[in-house]
Amino acid sequence: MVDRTGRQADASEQIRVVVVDDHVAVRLGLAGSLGRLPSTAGLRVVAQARTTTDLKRVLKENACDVIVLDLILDDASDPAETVAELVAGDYRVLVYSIADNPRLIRRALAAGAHGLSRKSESLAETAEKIRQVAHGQTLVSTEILAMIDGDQAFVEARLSNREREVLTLYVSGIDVPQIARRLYITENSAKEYLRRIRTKYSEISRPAPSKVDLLRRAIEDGVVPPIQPQ
Amino acid sequence: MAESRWVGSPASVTLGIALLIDRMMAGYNVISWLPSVPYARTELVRAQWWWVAVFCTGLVGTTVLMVIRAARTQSVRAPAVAYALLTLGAVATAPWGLPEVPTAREPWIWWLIGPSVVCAAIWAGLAWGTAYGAVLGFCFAVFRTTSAGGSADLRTAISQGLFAPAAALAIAAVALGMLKAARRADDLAQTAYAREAAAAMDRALAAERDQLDRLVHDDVLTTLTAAAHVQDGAAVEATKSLASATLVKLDELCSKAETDGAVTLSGLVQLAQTSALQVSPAVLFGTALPESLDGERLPAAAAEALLASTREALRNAVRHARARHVAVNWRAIREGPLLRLSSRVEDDGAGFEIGSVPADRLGLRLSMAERMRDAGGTCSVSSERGVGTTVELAWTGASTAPDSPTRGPRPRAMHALPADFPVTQLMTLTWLLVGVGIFLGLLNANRFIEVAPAVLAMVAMCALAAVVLHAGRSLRLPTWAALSSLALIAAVAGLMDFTLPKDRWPDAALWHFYPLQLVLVVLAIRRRIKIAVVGLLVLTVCYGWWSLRSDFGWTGLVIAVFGPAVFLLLAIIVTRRLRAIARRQDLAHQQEIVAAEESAGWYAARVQRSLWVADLIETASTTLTRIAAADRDIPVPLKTEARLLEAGLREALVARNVMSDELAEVTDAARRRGVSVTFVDSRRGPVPPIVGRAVTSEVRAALQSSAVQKVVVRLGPGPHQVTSVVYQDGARTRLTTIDETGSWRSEEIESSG
Repeated sequence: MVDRTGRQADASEQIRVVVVDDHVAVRLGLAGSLGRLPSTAGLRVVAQARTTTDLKRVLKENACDVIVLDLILDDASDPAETVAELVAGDYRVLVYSIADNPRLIRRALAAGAHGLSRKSESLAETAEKIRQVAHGQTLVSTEILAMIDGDQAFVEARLSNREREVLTLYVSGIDVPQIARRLYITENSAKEYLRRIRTKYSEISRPAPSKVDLLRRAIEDGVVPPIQPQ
Repeated sequence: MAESRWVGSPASVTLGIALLIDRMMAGYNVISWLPSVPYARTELVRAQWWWVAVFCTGLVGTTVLMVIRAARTQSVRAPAVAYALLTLGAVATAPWGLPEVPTAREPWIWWLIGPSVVCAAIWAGLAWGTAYGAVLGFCFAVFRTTSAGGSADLRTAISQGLFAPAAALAIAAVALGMLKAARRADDLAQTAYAREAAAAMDRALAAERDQLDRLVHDDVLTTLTAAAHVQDGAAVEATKSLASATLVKLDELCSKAETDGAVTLSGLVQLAQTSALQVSPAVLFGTALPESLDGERLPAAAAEALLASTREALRNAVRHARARHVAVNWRAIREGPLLRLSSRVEDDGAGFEIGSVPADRLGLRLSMAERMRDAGGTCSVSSERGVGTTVELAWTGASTAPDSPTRGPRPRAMHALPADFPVTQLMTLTWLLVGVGIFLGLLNANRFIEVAPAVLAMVAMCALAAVVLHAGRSLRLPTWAALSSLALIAAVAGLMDFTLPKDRWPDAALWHFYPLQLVLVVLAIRRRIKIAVVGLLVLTVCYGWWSLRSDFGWTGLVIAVFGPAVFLLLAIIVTRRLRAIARRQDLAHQQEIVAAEESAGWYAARVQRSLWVADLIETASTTLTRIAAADRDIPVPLKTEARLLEAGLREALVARNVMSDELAEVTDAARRRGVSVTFVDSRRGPVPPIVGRAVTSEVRAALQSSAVQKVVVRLGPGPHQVTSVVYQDGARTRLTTIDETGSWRSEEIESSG
């Protein structure tokens, strides 16, 4: 677990969560559930915030490990700016969204968010994602893959035919072992193609260990279409 | 506008040019009478009475009629045709109707040939005009050789018979060229307008959709997910109050629906097609709408009733009729001042007996018939068991004319002529006329005092044509070319002064008159009006020097200068009018787009929104009401319902490029069975209907199996990226790829090594 100072925490410690959402039902729902069910053990909501101003105040008063952040708040704040500010302060951020607005999600991920959880996912799934983010992982989901897949210019400009084929199958919902068999390659090769997509950036001293990082690099390089603030 | 022979839509570029041509034609006719008046006075008193009664009265009458109609902006077609026919009759019967005339000059009816050929060519086209000119020229040449025509020699007769129709055809060709260009410009403007109106509506629709999405996202989906996950008492209370607040917002949105405005017919049809394909991509959509009615507007309330009722009929057919084919056809016709619009939904399904349907299931009667009646329309349903059902929805009413009537193309630039001015045609004609002039000059070379200056003048004339038709970078003639043309005009006219006879009128030996007139016209068109006026003065000096030193005196000078002066004046008027039309069109064009954006698109988007809101309320309000009214805890079945409803609404947002009512129904049923159905939509626009049909049928087939556990539908990002459907059950995975033509390929993928 990594706290805001970057110190690796003991796995047995509770993970401190701050929930930011403008809907009280969502805040209360998460606060009431996390840590109380077996599937959410080890998590504790230490504070809630309705707006970014609330969040700043709450963060001054409470130490926390993961911020669960709704994408659209009724203070009309820019999610990308909020995420960038939090990441700069060494916080780990899990975007918690309905997941219907790829543009906003892409902006948030490009700004450094560590993962994405849909509000419709079960509490157990969301809890697991909070844990992974707290332990320093950066998450990959279908939505994130779809965003790389949907960025045609990037895919065409940067990926070889084989890499594109692997990515397309991956986004289509096919597992790595099945991809390997379909393309008559070994499972390791299939994984290697997925790794190579990231390595393309690593080779130029800009490591992209995850697809989220890869997406960040793509946006930094302008290969992703221009993103307009809403 | 009382009537127009040119166009169906009011105040287009074509109409402006047509009106201009009508007026110029009437003016040209009047002017052509003037030089003939001195001759006519002496000749007509000795003419046969029947000839005077029929032809002179007829020609004067039709000319007066043309002037009156042109002044009242009415078409001059009928008098123009009569004028052409009367002139032909007059020339053909002249040997018997007119007295003998001296050979030295043209008979007065020669002056009528030009306007007649222009009338004929503009009425029937250049080919028929040329044929008419040839017949008329031939008749005149024959008449000219008779004693009544002055017993002229063959060379004079041919020259005069050739010159007048050729000159007139040049004028007609320019006029017809302008008209053709104007029509093409109108067509282009119509297309551009349709495109811009469609784009404006797309923008308005996107704005409305965004607003609604935000509501769905923020409130409806959040309420449903909160309800699905809620655990403790405080959260239940918060969820219940969120559900109540959401219901209030939905009601407000519904009551805010504004349907006071007007939508364009083309906009309505665009919405109708989208909404039909959203019911099911298998619906066959057809239209019979004359293009001229595209811009007609109808009240938004009528549009909404037609759209909503059509969709209701389509849903009934797709859901309940078990039909193989469902088709919807939109038709529009104009009946006098009224617009009649109908939408006909037909299926070849089970059908039913109308009388046997219970009152509480008369959705079609109540919702469609009532809705149509409220909007001033009608709804009729016919059905037969085993044959199918037809629903006919119709609305008739006055169309709302747009405030800004003109649709025109953008001119090339404010200082230039309108788009598509026939520059090439004008150049060709100028060269042609120079050629004809030189040919006539050479034919009459025996009349020159000396041949050498005439030949030099012909060479100078060729140089002059080359200079004024110099392509250059813009329409405006370069200064060097404009000044050179002045020098060459002086050279041609001056050289001819030395060689033209001074004791008798040279007739066709004045070969350079008409080409020089055309040169002045070209100068005016090429934005060198001042140079053209100076050119006219140069001509006046040169002609005056010759005429005043010969037997013709001031009369000769007036006759010589009359033509160029009139032509130059006409050219100046024409170019100024064309520029004015171009400016007006540009302004109107802007206004039209703004109007289209602000009214039609705006109202169409609201009509569409009211349908979306109605859908949303129908889908979500029951569940939201039950959540709001829940007791201390939200029961598990309601949580499940909320989760399923959230998934359906979310997919409708996320996968809107392929989602239809039919697909939503199929996937919802599967989710209720516990199947995981996911849409990954990377596409930027809707899939073609053929792909939508293939996806729906593939998903339906995949979900029919009871063993299915997971289905993933992926829409590739671009038009050339395939769409895929992955099906998984415990033992196998199947991947189906569908290309843009709707053809598909399916393969099994091994699940275990």
